[in-house]
Amino acid sequence: MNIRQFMVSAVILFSTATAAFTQSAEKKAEDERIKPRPNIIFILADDHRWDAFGCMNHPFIDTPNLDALAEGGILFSNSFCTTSLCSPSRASFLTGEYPHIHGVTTNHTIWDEEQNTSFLEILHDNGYETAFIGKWHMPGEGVPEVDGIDRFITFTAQGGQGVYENCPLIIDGAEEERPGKYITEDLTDFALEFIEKERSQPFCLYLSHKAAHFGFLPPKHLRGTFDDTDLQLPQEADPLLTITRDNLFVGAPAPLPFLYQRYCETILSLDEQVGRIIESLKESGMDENTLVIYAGDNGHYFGEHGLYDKRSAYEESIRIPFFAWGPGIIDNPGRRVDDMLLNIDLAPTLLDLVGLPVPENMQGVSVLPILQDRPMTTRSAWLYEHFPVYPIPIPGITAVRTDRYIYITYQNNKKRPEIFDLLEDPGQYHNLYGTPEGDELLPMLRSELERVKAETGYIDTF
Amino acid sequence: MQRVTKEIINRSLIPSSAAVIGTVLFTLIYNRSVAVGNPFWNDVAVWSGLIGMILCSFISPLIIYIFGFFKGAGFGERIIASLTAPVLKSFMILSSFFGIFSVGEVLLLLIHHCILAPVVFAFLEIGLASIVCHSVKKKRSGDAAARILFRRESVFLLIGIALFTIFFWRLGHFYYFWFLDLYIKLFG
Repeated sequence: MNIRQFMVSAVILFSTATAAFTQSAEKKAEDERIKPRPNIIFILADDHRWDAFGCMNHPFIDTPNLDALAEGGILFSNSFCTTSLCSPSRASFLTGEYPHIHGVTTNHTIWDEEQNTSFLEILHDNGYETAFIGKWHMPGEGVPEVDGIDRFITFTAQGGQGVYENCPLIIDGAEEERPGKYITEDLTDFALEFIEKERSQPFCLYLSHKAAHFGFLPPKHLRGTFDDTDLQLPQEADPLLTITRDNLFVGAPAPLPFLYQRYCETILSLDEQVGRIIESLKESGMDENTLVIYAGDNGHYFGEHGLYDKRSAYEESIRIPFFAWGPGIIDNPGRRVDDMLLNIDLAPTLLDLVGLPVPENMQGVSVLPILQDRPMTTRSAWLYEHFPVYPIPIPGITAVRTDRYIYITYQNNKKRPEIFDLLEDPGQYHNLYGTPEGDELLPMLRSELERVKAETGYIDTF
Repeated sequence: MQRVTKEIINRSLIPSSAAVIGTVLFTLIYNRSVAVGNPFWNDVAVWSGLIGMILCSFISPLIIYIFGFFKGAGFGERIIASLTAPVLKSFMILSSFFGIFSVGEVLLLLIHHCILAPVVFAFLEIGLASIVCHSVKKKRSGDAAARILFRRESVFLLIGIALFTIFFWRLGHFYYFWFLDLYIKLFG
C-alpha cells in the first residue's frame, strides 16, 4: 500500500466512522425524542418511619419488596419533612412549598384550591392522565374539588383518617361501601386498575395509603406476626407513656408495646401491596418507563425521648423514607444518597423529569441530577416549622437542621432551646444549649435559622 | 375549737396535702425519668413516678373520702379533701397549654375530657366510696333498714358515670370529634 492508497483508506475509514457516530448520536437523540414520557407512581405511606424497613437494618421488620425498590433504585438516606404532621406534609408534597406558603399549617387548616397548584394539576395540563387514590386528609366539607385529577378515590371516615377495615370510599364523587375490604389492599386494587388501563398518554398515580397511621390494624393474616418478638423499644420508653405527659393529647388508650407491634405488622401489609404494584409493572414491561417513588409523610415516636406520635423536631419525627425506583430512568441504580432531601423536593423533581419548567413558587429543588447520577448537592441547611394544633400542648417550633446540627426554638420559650450535635449524639440526648460547646455554635446556628427563614419567606407568627 | 381544728387537720388536711404533694412530686419524678440514663434508675424513676401519680392523683379520692368518713368529717369537708389533688392534677395538665393558645382557647379546654379525667374519676370514686362507707356503717350498726344510698352522694356517682360514658364512649372518639367541631365553630 503506497502513501496515497493509505491516505484514501484513512479518509474513507474516518468518514465511515464519523458517519456512524453521527448516525448513532442522531439515533439516540431520535430515540430520546420518540421515547414516551415516563409514567410516575408516587406511593405515600402514613407515619412510616424512615428506619422501619429491612434495608434500614430494622431488627425484625422484613420488607423485601420495599427493600428491592431501595436497593434497585436510590435510597435517599437523609430525607425529611419540613413539618412533621399529616396535612401540612401532604400539601408540601403536592405543591413543593412550605406550609407557611401553601397555608395548610395544621390538620385543621383547609387546602385552598385557588391559591395552590399541585404537581398533579400541572402534569394533567401537560397531557398526563392523573389519579389520586387514598388519603387526602386535608380539612374542609366533604371531598374537595381538586383540579387536574382524572380519577379521585378517597375517604372521609374519621375526619379523613379513614379506617382499616370496611372503609367507605368516595369514588369520583360517589360514596361506596366497601364491606370486607382491607384498606391497603383495596386502594392497591384501584391503583392496579388505573395502572393497567389501556391508554395512549403517560400517567401519574398518587397512591396515598392510610397505613401505617394510628389505628394500627394489620390484615388478618399478619396479625400476631410479632407476638413472640422482642420489640426492642427504646430504654426511655415505658408501656404507659401513650397516656402520660403531653402524649395524653396525641396518644392512644393502649400500652406502647401493643401499639408498636401492631404498627410493625401493619407495615408488612404495605410491603406486600407495594410488591403487587412492582410485579404488575414488570409483567407489563412498564417498569422500563415508570418512576416509582415511595415516601412517608412524617416519622413517628415510639418512646424515644419519652414521646409518642410526631410533630416535634427530633430525628424520629422529621425523618422520612424516600426511595426512587425506575430501571429505565435511574442511572447507576443501587445507590444510597446522603444529600438532604425534603418533601418539598418531590414536585420539582417530577416536573423536571418530564421536561416541564419548575414554577418559581416551588421551594424545593429538583433532584433529577441525582437520579441521573450527575453531580449535585441539594442544600446545607433547611427550615423545620411546626404550628400549634389545638388541642395539643406542643408549642410552635422553628428549627434549622444542618448536615450535622439541629437548633430548635419554641414558641414563647415554652421549652428551652435545644442544640444537638447529630454526629456525636444521634439519639439527641445531650442538649448543648447553654454549654460552652453550644455557646460556640449558637451564633452560627442562629444566623442559619434566620437565613433559612428569610429564604423561605417565613414570618414569625407566634 | 382547737380540738376541732386539730381533727380537721388530721382527718382531711394532712391526707389531702399528702395527695397534693405526691401529685406534684411523682409527676416531676416521672416526667424527669426520660433524662435518667442508667437503666436501673430509669426503671425506678418511671415506675415509682407512675405508681405514685396513679395513687395520689387518681386513687387518693377513694382513700381520703373513706378515711374522712370514719374519722367524722362532714360531707363538704370530705368532698373538698377528696377533690383537691384531682383538681390540681387537672390544672397541671391544663397549664401545659398556657402560652401556646389564647385565653379563650384555654378556657374551652375546661371541658376537654383529658383535662377533666382526674375529676371525673374522683366523682366516680366519691360515689362508690360513699356506698362502701354506708354499707360498712350499716353492717356495724346492724340496722337492716339503714340506707346506703344518699341523694347528695349519689349525685357524684351519677355525674361521674354520665361524664365517663360521654367522654370515653368509643374510646373517646365521639366526644373528641364533638369537641373539635365546637372548637371550630367558636374559633374558626
